Amino acid sequence: MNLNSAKGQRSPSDQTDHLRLYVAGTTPRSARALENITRLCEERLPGRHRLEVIDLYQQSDLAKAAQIVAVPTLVREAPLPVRRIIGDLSDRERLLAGLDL
Amino acid sequence: MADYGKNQVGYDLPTQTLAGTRIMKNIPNHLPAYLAMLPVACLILNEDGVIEQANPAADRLFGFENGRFPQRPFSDFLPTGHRATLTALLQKTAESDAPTSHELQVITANGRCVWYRAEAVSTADQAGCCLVLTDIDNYKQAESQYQMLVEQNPAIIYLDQADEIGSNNYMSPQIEKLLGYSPAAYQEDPNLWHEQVFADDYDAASAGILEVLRTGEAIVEYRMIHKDGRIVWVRDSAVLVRDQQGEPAFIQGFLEDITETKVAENKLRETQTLLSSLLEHAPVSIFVDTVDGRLRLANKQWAEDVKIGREEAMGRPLEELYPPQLAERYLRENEEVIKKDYIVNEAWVDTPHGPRCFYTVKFAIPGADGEITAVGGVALDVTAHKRLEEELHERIKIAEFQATIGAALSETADLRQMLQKCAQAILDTFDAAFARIWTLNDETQILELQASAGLYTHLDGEHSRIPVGHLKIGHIAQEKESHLSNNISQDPLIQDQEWAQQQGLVAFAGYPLLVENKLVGTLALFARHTLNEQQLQAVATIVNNVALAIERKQNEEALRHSQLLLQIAGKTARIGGWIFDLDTNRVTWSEEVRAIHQAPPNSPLLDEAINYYVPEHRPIIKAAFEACIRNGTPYDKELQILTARGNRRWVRAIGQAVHNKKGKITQVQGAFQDITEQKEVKNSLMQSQRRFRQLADIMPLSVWMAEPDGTVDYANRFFDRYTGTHNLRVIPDGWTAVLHPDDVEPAEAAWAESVQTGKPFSIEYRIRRHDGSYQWNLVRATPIRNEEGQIIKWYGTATDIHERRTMEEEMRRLANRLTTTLESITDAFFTLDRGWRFTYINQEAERTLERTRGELIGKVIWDEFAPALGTAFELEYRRAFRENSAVTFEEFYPPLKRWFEVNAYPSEEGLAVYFRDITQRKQSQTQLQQQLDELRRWYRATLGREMRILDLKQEINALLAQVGQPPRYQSAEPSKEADNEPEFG
Repeated sequence: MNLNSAKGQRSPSDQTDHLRLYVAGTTPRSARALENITRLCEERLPGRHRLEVIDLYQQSDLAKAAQIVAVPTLVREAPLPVRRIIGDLSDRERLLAGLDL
Repeated sequence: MADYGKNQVGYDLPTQTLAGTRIMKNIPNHLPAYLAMLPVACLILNEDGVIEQANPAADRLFGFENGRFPQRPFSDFLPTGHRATLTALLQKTAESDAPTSHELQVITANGRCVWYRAEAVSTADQAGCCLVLTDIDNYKQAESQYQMLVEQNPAIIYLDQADEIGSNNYMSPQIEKLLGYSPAAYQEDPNLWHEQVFADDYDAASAGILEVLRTGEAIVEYRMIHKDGRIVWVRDSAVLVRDQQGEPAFIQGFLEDITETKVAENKLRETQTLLSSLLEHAPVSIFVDTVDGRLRLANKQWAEDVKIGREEAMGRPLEELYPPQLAERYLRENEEVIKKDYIVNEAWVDTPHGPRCFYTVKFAIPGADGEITAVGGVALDVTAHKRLEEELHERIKIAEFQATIGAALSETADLRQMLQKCAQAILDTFDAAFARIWTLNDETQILELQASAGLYTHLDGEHSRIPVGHLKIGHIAQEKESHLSNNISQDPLIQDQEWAQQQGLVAFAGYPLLVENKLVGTLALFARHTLNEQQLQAVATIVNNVALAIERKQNEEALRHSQLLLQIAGKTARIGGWIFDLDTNRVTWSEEVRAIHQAPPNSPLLDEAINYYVPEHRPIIKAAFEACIRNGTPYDKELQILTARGNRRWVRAIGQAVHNKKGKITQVQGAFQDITEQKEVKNSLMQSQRRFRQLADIMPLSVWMAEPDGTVDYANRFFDRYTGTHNLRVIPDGWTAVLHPDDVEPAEAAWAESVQTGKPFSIEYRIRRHDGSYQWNLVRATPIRNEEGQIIKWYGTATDIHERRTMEEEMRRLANRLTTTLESITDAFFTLDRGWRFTYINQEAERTLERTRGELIGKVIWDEFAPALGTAFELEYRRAFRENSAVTFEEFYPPLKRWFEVNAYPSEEGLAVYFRDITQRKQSQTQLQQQLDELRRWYRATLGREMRILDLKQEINALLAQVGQPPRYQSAEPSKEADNEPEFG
């Protein structure tokens, strides 16, 4: 998957990014992933994002619907296309590229 | 020693040991004692690595006796591959104060290589080191075993943090073989795993993760995309491992490559679907019965054939599904299948749709343990084929029958042989008990047995001559109605019931043989089985042909005789007949000839007959007769004989040879006439008129005279003798008294007219003879005129022509009959004279040749039918003349586009040709051939049906082979097939 292909095509308008972070339990790793994404969003998408955290233990139906095969998984539901970034989101470059930022 | 590595002292021990050693080294006197108390092997090496001290544990390890360790480098006690490790260890130790450790193998006292952890620390004086060896062999072995387990295992082991799933913290290296990427690739790119999951299977993979989190374990199967693009099926068995607090810690699992299984499974599923769909929709009845006689499975066609809903039928005992007899039969078959494994049959069955013929294959179905649990069956409805086959068979049989009869009728010369062949054909074709044919003797009205085949073959038994109207045969002949019975015991016409019962006769069919409603014979057959409509029809169709053939044969015979008689009769009117037979050397005389000879009534030998001639005439007759026998030269001689009573007589002897069919002379037939009187009368007439009366009186015929006014005034003595009257002369016009009452009036009228007009008088009338019988006489009278032409006297005669007239009538009748016969025979017929000119053509010939009599009579055949020149027609006719023998041939005449069968008989007069149009028969032969071809095709179609079953079997075998089972049907294995088609025609 060429994550760079859509780079620069984002409109700079007030579009809200919709992100979902799927985690398995409230573990330090989960917390770290959440912290990573939250920090990035506040930096790059201040006020233009919505972030949901879905715990596979709690909301398995949503996870199933999202076809989650790895955790943590960050899914950008909007804008399209849907993007998935897997791992603890500590690799900032990968994260930025994955979210077209 | 091995225990020390694992005891509670643990890994702290060597470190303390080392520290201790280091201190003790500086207090040399205490060192050996210190070392001796240590439970682990401990060595002091100098700066060159040579052993300086060894404790007892080391002694035991290396087999040094009582501390007599050798002053040798320690590396001598290591496998060569491990010496470098030691060197590195010693170097490190020399460079730093900190203890260093390496794992290496040492060679123990018993020569084994054992893993040890060597920890070293430099001695306080930096001049050597202290080495402590801890046994880690067990650990090492476990480790290599673990690695072996993990890395040699075809299953891939993975380990994930419970909160970091899919990152694959650990993966067996074989993952690369499975998915194309090394474990490191997954750690570099956390998205890689996700990307490799086959899009359609995200649900399954996702469900697996959720399940393992929820329940602690899960097994899911999903597809992954190999680096090279292949789809790989994996089975993922995961377990959630919790920590001491019970919190999820790891997810540990196995990935197995189940592609092959999956492919096989899918294939199996596919083939199963295919198979069941095939079985369900196959246009054959397919069913499975349990061994205890219940229906377990059935396809759509079964339900249609049996007319029972499947849901309703399933599991029910066969007795409830089929009529009792059928159920019993099926159960019996099933038992047989259990014993024999396999049966095939073809049988008629009463179904709700009427009788049907099924080709059925039944086979045993073993369960998992090899015990037979069910009986499978395939039943193909072959009713239509069967019926067609039977019908065709029947048709061919009848066609063959008709052809056989046709051949018998056209090719057999002899009537009896011909009919015998027909009877035999009827017997063979209809499997009759016996078949018989009678012909009618027209004169006696008796049916004469001519042919008998089967149970009785003699022709002279009690039924050999049956008068018309007697017995059932005579009855059929009388009524001219066929009589058919399939129940002889109830048939009043069959009189001998006891006999019929003894012979087991069931059916009777009797037919009158009629030609245009004229009876020529009867045909009858008895059978031990009933005769069906088709068979009776087949017999009916040939009955006419047989009748015509009999008629024709009889006509041929009659014709041969009548032809001769006519020829002879044409030459003379007053005739006595005789026949000389070369076989018997005897002459058979007609009554008249006998009378002329005044001989006793018997058939004289040839010499006896010749000796009647006067000696001077004997050589003449002998020569003429011999020439006739030898060359067929006819003769006609006037000679004298001496009768048995010594009377000299003039006779006219005519003889003509009779040829048989082969042209051989077998008989001489002739006419014989007493011409004494004629001779004598002739002589008398040459006498003077004066002697007339004198002569008249001795004349052997009536002579009379009359006055010019018609008054009869004289009648000779013969007349008196003839009529038995003596006073006629004295009774004027008394002559009318001897006339037949019916003839008086016309006779008187005619006489009156002659007297009036002077025209010669000639009339035939009946005169009462002395015995009271009226005999036809030809009465003539001629007027005698004077020179002035006036009638002075009537001279008259009366000649007994009774016999001649009877004969003439007979001749006319015969001639008529001949003509009628020639016209009515179904064969075309014409005669040619020796100059190839047409002398006679019958109607059938006119029709067949499409020419009229007027056009042809007197014309030369080769002018009128030029295309026949050079063909068999010309060649055979010429041969007939040349060899003087009958010829028979078949030839095609192109201008008419017809085949003819021709029989030609040569004679002195020319050639008699019978022919008939056999175009249709030729076509029938072609049609028969076509029917045979059709049968052959049907046979192949039937074979095709078996081939389809064979195909089905082979397919089942192939399916079984796919799932690794041996073939079910040995019969469907290719090697056993043999291709043989029966011969036809």
